Amino acid sequence: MQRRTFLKSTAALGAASMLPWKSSPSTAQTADPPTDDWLQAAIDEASQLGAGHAEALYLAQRRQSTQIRKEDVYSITDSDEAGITLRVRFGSFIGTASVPSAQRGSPKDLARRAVESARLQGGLLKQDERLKASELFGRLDTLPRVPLDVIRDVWQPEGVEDPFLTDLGERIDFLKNLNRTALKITQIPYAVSNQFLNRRRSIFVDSLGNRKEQEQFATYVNFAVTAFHQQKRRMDTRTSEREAQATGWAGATANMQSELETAMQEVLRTQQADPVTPDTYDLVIHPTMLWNLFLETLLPHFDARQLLRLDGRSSGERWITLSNLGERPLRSEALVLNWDTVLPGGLASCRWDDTGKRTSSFIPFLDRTGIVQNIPVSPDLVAYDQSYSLGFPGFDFSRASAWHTPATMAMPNMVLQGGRDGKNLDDLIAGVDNGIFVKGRGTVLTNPAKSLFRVRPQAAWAIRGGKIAEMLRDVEIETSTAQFWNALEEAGRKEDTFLGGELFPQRAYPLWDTPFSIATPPALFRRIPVYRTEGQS
Amino acid sequence: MMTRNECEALLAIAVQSSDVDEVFATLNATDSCSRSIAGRLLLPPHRMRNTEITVTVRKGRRYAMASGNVYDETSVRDLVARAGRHAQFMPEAPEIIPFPGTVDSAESPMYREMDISRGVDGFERALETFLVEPSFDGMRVFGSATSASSSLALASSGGLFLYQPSSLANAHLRCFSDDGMSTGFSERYAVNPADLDLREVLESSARGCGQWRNPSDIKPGRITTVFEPRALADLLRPLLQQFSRRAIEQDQSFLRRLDGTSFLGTKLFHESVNFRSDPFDARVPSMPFTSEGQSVHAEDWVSNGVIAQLVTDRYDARKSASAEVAPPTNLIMDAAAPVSDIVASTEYGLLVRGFANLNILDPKNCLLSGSTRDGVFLIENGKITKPVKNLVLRETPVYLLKEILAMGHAELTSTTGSYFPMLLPSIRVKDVMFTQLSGLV
Repeated sequence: MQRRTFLKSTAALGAASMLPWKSSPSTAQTADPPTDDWLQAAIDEASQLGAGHAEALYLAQRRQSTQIRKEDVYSITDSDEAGITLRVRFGSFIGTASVPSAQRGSPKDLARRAVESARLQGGLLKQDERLKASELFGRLDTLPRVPLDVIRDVWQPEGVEDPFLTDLGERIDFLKNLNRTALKITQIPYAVSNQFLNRRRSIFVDSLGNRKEQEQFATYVNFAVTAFHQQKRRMDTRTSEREAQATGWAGATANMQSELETAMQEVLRTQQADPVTPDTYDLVIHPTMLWNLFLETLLPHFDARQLLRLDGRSSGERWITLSNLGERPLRSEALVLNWDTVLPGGLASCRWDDTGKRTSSFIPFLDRTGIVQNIPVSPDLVAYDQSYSLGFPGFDFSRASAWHTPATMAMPNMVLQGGRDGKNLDDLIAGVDNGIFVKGRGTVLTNPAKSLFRVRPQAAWAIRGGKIAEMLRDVEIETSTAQFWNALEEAGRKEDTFLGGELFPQRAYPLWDTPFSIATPPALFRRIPVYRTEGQS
Repeated sequence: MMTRNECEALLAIAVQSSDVDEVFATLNATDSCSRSIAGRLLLPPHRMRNTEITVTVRKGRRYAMASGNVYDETSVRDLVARAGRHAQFMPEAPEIIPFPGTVDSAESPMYREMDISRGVDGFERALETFLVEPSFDGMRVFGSATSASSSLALASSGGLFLYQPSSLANAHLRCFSDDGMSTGFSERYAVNPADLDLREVLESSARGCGQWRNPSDIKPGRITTVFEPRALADLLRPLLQQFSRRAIEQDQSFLRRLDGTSFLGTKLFHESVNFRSDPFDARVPSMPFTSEGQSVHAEDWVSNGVIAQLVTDRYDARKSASAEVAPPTNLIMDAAAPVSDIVASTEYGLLVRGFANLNILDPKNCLLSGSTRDGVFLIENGKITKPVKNLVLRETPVYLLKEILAMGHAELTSTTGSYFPMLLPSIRVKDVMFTQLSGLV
């Protein structure tokens, strides 16, 4: 059966029913998605031009952000982009081409341009043969082959409503109310709140007959309140703790007023608190802070391209290298990491990645023995995104950061596993005689090699005799990344896991182009150097 | 590439909307092809075509924006309607200044006909050199080459329509030694892709990497320094942004006197310093209008060391009843008496090729700080004698331009990582402040 005939024969999965968003005019986008026929025509044309494999990814992304300063709308940004990227393979050569959805023109043109790109690649035949023999390419042959099933699927996250369905006016009123509540307190002269909404719709079609359609949402609502102490001339800011998640408006804003009340109380108490006495302390770290420390200090060391020295950056102090795979770079047995691309609420969660591969949960990454089991990447960096179509499973995760960017390796959601003893936060605190409990996302400063860092938590309390005591201010943690993570003695229970996440991860690190989440429980770290900041927190 | 008529027709749909009081619309249409290499792996080439429109609307005293990669009439109308809906939530502006109306502006010579996919053809040949020639053994190269043609058009409901086609080929390549302890970088831009010698870019990057092996320690302090054009470009870019009446008013410029007035007409730099900009200069053609619809004319910004001109935006021009002066879109710094070989005429000092980053520590005197990168060398008796480790510069370009000892011949360059065409010389400056070793490779 021809692919085209196959598609036409599956009438039950016709275009209308395959496009769940078509029925919601309030969320209409700037251009209609291409029909299956259009995508298939591009793939057929590429095949006729000699491509061994072709895949088309239609991607539409709507983004909106709003900032409220005090009681006024300060800014609204709104963008809506959609387009199609076609990727073709001729033997070992890959070519890609992109067109905007609204200006897509003829599918033959797109196919011709993608093929033309692949032919450009073909000019390097001799080099490519050498590359195939290289160490990285050679590893592909060690992977087991798996049978390929042709799958047609439509997926949406269960129970998550499109945040754009909530009226913008209603969302602005909600943010204004947050600020009004804070500004009622005389000592809080400034409040700001933000909302960021993302919607991502994709259709993946390939020459094997696969068709995978998905819709994902991300909502991030946050606030910051600033308190000023007139007599002590102190200014302190506390931000909301919840982070971006794959959820709708209702999920992102539930109980936010109560969170605001807590933040206001904490920032006011911080103003009255005494500074910390510099020393070495046992630290109980709340997950609202821990996830960000993990993101900024440890995760960059596991970045696959950095491990493989393909990041184009200085090697500097490469603390964990490829040779650590199967070895033990970290001593802590409590540091157990998995990656999970179906994590509920996870920003990188989906059913299919952008090259049509099935996502999965709990791929071991760093086990209890501290041994690096896996890295989130296929070892083949040329055909990494084609391994599936070649018949190899691949354990990578590929995403496109924009419609005009071909899908490439992407960071999955990361999960720091809960402790085996099932201790809650109070239990962890009870295990500390003289220490500090810290929480809230702080600004993490690192050296370029990420081997040293400094962070100021948003809120801190003394722990004495296993109990929370008075609040402290001017707390600054400064240590080496290795020392810090080796000092992890115990992770709390998984029920207390908090989902942090990077909605805008576009930093200078490789792989960090698309949103991903990090789930961490609270954790206990022993003997960490704590300093007192000179200025204000 | 979209033609003038195509752009005008599409933008007319936006600016003729009757739902709002005023509309300002920007259209950016691009067709590009890029090639990348990571280590010794050549990544797939990518062709991309896009048209993006951003509309800003005024409804009463409220302004709002929306953007999308739209192309058809319905979508453009939807975009304007969306911005109009957003406007109702925005606070009222204290003052209404109409969007710009008709402006006279000619097209700059920024466009050459080219076959996009062939624009970076030389990449393969250059990389073949890299992969085959023994002189490149022990090196990895990272970077990309891109060729693109674009059309930028602006229109307003007040009658403005501006259009500029452009073509640009660029390559930036960074070589690393296999042990990762040495690096070299090279970046080139060309309006005409035929002028971009990719092999030269590669060789320059590899040469830099080879020359910077095993750098020596050097004691930081005040050291006479030769800055190559790209390093100077990175130093001048923040300085140039302070040539602005708005920045002076907000106390964010070295050009503000203590009494709040400007140093316009005052000699602040060495008399050999002349800054000029001209979007129609064929050596460094650049945009003849700004994204706000201001026409960019040839201007002298510094004449014989004297501050000669300041940027005046539409708002400041209206407030002070003076003429608008658009910010420069290129920079030309010609030396009246260039030194043929600036290194040969240096008895002792440093040669700095570039910076990793430069941050503004204090805008009031344009104090910058950042690490050198991509080549720092010791000059002794007119010769480069050895590579030295990267240093942290803590200096203001105001001082550098005041204490210039010599200038070389001007070369085409740009700020690192973004295209801002400049024609700059190498300069030698006495007693430049380096505070510490940066530890950067």
